[in-house]
Amino acid sequence: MAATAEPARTGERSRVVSRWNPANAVTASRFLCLPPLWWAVAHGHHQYATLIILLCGVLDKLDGLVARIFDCRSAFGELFDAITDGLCYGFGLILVAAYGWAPAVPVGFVIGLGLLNTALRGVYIRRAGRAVNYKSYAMERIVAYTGYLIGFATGGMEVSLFYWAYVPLMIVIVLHDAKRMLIDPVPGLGGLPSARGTAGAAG
Amino acid sequence: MTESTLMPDSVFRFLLSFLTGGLSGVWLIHDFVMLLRLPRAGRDLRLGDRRFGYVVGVVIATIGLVGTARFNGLL
Repeated sequence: MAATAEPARTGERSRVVSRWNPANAVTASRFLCLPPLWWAVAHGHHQYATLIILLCGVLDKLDGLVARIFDCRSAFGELFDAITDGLCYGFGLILVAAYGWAPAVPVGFVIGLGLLNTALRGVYIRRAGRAVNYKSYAMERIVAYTGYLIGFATGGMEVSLFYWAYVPLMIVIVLHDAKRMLIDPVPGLGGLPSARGTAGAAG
Repeated sequence: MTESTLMPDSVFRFLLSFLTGGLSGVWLIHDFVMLLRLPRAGRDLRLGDRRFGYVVGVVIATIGLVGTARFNGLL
């Protein structure tokens, strides 16, 4: 298989990083959590489901660490991580809502607002005229909350409170970020707030 | 269908509380301190983003602590 490669995101150095690297392997391994999660939820095993979603979250943090250790940070890794976040958390939320472990309405809001945020980022990239990531401190925090949401559902922990509290917070954040991405001036390349983590960042 | 478990329910509840309440507590302190350390003057948009992010962090952490307290019958 031909190895696709791209410049590494290591500051001044111009180095090529293969897409087939340990950090992306850790990111990809998160998809392996989804079938057992489905099995655990379908069979009503709350503790196993919680353990699996916890493992998925740990792997999310681990890929950034692996990227730093093996010096294989890349723009593709960031994108792949963001896509994996969306697919894993989206799948988990739909799953817990489908099996009645979480209220469907806030789950619909979570997924809808997540898709809206993704679209806004696409518009921001078009405005900037290059592949840039809009770093949102608030969105990073709400993404961590999103991961926890699935755990609250599998663990049966104050599900209504956590799910309904999420919705207004996410609406405020999306509105704030929408103004920044659609109306405020796009910073120059040198001034971009691009200190997003490696493969392990979100938001 | 009988639920297969890894640990007694009380231990499971404690772990959930520890993972949620513990992280929320640390997060609350971290973001609150970072918020206080930010310069107040100026209209730098990036500074505003950081301030907004830390405020959101404080709110989320507070929700986490309230949820943990309710889960344990404290509220």
